[in-house]
Amino acid sequence: MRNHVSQQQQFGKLVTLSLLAVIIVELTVGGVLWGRRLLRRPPVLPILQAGDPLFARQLPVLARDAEQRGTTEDWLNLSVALLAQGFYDEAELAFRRVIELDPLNQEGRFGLAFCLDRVGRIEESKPEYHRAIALNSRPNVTDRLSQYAWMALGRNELREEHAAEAEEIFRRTDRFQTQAVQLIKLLIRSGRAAEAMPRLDAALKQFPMSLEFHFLRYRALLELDRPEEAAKVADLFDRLRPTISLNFNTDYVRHYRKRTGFDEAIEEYNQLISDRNMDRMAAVLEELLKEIGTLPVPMASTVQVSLAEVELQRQRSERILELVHTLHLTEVEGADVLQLEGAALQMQGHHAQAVALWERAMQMGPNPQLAEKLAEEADRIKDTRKRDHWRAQAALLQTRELFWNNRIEEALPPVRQALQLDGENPQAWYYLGQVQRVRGDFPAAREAYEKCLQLAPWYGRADAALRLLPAT
Amino acid sequence: MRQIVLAVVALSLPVLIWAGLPFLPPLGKPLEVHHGGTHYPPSPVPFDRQTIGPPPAGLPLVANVQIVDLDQDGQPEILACDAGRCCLTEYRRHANGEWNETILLADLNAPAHVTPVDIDQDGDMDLILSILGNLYPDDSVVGRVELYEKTPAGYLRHVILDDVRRVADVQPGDFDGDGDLDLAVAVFGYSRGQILWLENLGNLKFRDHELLNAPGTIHVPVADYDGDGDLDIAAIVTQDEEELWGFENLGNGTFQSRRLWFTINLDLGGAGLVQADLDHDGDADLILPAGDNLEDLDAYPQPYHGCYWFENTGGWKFEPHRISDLGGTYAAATGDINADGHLDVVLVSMTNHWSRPENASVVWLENDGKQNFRTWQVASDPIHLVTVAVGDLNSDGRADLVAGGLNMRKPFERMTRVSAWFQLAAPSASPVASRVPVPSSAP
Repeated sequence: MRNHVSQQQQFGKLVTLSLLAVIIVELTVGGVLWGRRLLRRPPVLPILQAGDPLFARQLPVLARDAEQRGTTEDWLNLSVALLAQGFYDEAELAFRRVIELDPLNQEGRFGLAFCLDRVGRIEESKPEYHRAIALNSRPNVTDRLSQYAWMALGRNELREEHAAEAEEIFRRTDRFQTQAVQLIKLLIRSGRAAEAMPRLDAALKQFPMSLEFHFLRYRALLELDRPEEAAKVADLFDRLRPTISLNFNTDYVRHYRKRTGFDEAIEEYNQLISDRNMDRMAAVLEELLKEIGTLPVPMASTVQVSLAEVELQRQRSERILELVHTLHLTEVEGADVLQLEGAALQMQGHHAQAVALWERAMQMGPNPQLAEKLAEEADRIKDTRKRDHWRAQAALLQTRELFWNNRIEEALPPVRQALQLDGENPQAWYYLGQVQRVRGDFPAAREAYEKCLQLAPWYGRADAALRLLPAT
Repeated sequence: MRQIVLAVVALSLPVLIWAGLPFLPPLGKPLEVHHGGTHYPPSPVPFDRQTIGPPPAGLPLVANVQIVDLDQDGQPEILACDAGRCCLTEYRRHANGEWNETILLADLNAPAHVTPVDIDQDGDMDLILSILGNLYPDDSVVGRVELYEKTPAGYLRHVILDDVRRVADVQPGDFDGDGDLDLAVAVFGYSRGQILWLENLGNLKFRDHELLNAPGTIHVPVADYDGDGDLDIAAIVTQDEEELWGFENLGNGTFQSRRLWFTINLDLGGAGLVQADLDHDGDADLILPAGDNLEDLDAYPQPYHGCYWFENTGGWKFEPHRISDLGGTYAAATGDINADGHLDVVLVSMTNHWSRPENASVVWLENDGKQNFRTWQVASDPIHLVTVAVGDLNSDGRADLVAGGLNMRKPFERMTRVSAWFQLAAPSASPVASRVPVPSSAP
């Protein structure tokens, strides 16, 4: 019996000791957990100026998630939001936390490098860009961030005026168009234009309408003292569009910016445009205007003008005039504001006032659509002289747009129409010459340029273009 | 009983520990945040700031300010190209010290620069406006040169150059030696641009001649750079190029183009070009403010920003010296600020790191006469300044400053349209510091 009691006591002691041991372990582990939790660093946030109330509401939520849940994703969300709004110093610290939590996180590593880069800490950014490249999960395929990192590394060597190091990077990565552009430019600027030419030929074979490569070819030909060939290339690249994003910074940041603040709201609005649901579009913009209130931010006028354009489609002249009045009060003027005001007044039957505003808008920023409207207004009051003047202007402006966008064949009918309506306009003759020259009809081009110079001897460009024509 | 209590404790502790974790405040020391930007000792020459004209009601977008005696009455006026309000404003000082604003020209589509000049040589000042056509990046042919002829009835508009990309600057000079004033034109554009000279044919007609096909030319200062008695043209070409060009006048309207300097640093941010004889040796030097990084969504001052003095050493050689490291430098002007007989330089910043309220927006560089410069801070408010001029605004014999604000970027605070800093007292002698080290540059 005594033995049994003793055994029970011993078992009880054992249980007690075991429980105490468990509690001690729990307290130790708990203490470590609590200690680590207490010692964690809070996110460092910028002092927000009154610029974007939507972002001002998002930031504390992101910061709370990072502080309380503290997962890699939470910290990454905070980091990229700070970066998207240009708070590079604070974003740097948040990215550092991402990397602490997940050293293999490429987005975090690249973000850190980018923040250091953009605040001018170029040397510190370099190893981080290299680490970001090393974290590419598919080593045989260069992912977007690795590509950006290579671009940044090359650009940074240029920023530090390390020509040899930059060239080495560009040679290693010249499969990317941006890198090829920089390499060729370095070659031309260092007296190696001849070495650049085969690279240019290859690039232009692949991208025949590339403004960037044609511009470099122009520079190379000048360096090689071949000015006549250079002039022909210049004539071509004048009509091409940029095709290569030479600075990745904006693309990279915009990717995140679309997720925050006003930009997120505008992105949502842009999604509505294809549906053409004007009521919904107006409602979204009105809501955004309420958010902006009286804040002096560029977004205010952007939204007001967009809303006025939507209200134009909804035929709501009163609201357009209210918005135009607000724009005037906040000192926003321009051809677009005059055009909107004129449209509202026209809707209300104030044609003469509308025409006066539109004529001012045409003087500031001529465009074919507005010239057509003015022609219609002149036609309405049977002023055929003015009608033909504006129709000629509309046709000439249309020609100009088509020509500069390298749509040469399409530009021929409107320029002929412009000359039919006003045969004394030297600019129209000049454009006829341009169109015919590019089409290869050199006699017609010569005739047109000569007519232009006859009407306006000061038209130097016509004279220069004449010199581009082959001798007859 | 004790064991039950212990068991309950053992079971509940993990739950309590786990449940309590989210409520624990972070007590760790936050990482130190880096702050860039530049600030300097306060100017020993005291200035009093005054807002010129009415306070802005929106976001002022002033691209250019100048101090000029437009009506030639001996009293200086301030002219401002206001790209937000699409106008040219004139500010006149009244006897009570207030400056009244008049809109001199309206319906100007993003005016970048005004050039007051008697172009028709009839004894009054005409105005030539460099019209961007769009303040924001745009590669289309939206630029113009508009000449406003002064007539008894007001200003009469003539478009003397059309159908070109964005125009940033026009400067006059008789380049062909025929006695009338021709014009040098900077067609900034965006991805493409040009430098032109316009030959004056009389009757306000001008014939255009191309000097260079390159994007991003901001200013085309005119001077006799080679000392041969005729006027030459200099130009700063920016965007990705960052090149300084000279166009030597060979006579009869012909020019020889020379690339005087370039850097492979595509991010330098050349923001203008000012001609002045900084070292007082009788030839024309060039001053380059650098710090334009508007191509980034959010600009930040960079280590190579500041001001570069290109010393004219003769024979079309210009030796670069870095004389300031002001972050986001956007414009420069010269004047003898402390009246010591040496030409000083005034700089303004558009994109210093504005989160730090002490960072400078206006500084002047004191020239000790041997071209050692010391930077003195005049102001950190207002910010976003892109244009500056120096002149005696109140006819007290002292050099004053005037600057204009282009408020396109965060933070939307400390804004101004046009502000002036009036010098308060006679300047005193100040100590001299050495130049900022010069980074290498490819000749």
